[in-house]
Amino acid sequence: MNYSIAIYGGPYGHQASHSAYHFAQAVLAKGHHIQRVFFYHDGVYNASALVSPPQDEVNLPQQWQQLANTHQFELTVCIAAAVRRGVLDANEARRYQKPAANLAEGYQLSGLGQLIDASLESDRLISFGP
Amino acid sequence: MMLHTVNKSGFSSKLLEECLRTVQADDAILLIEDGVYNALKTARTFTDQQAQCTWYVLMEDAKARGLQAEHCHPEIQWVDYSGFVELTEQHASICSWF
Repeated sequence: MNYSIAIYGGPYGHQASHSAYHFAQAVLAKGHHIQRVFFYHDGVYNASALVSPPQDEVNLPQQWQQLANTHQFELTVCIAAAVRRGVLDANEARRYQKPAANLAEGYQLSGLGQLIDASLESDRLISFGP
Repeated sequence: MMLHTVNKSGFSSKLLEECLRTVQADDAILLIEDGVYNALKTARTFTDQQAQCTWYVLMEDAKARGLQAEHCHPEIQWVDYSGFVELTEQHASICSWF
């Protein structure tokens, strides 16, 4: 089956991204495909390249990157939710004349339509909230 | 047939109550994160209407919070993440309560 996952909770403050990550691993272990992970609301903080937890703690943004890279699925970040929270790629940093961009590698900013698309194209869409 | 996930404890939130107002017979409810506290015998009682749906609790989250099977309602089945995925295979729609 084809799965998509929506994450509404930021890393560390809530379990949402953590739960979603474990769920994603279990989905892949069963031979299913993941099409897209969509980060919305405070979930966009999962896509910050500046997240710097202690070395002996899990780095969720990095773990998502690695899982997505290994299994070739999209990490899509809602652009409107991200920009207002200060998660910007190079284009948006230029557009808003900000000194730096911080969207982590492997993530892409896109519109809310990608969440609707995931619900239409995937066999299953599951949300993890704060 | 719908799968509902609930991630808040009934001791601190009305989330499960809201969920129970919408569930239909043959739906399944999976308690995750702090929602696992709803599995405790002290947390809630089963009514006839609620008993028609099937209850599950996510083992990893329950164990992480020190819950043991003998403290929980026997009607609630324990599933791991693999069982969580199986529930999503069996239910075409998933409603996440948070």
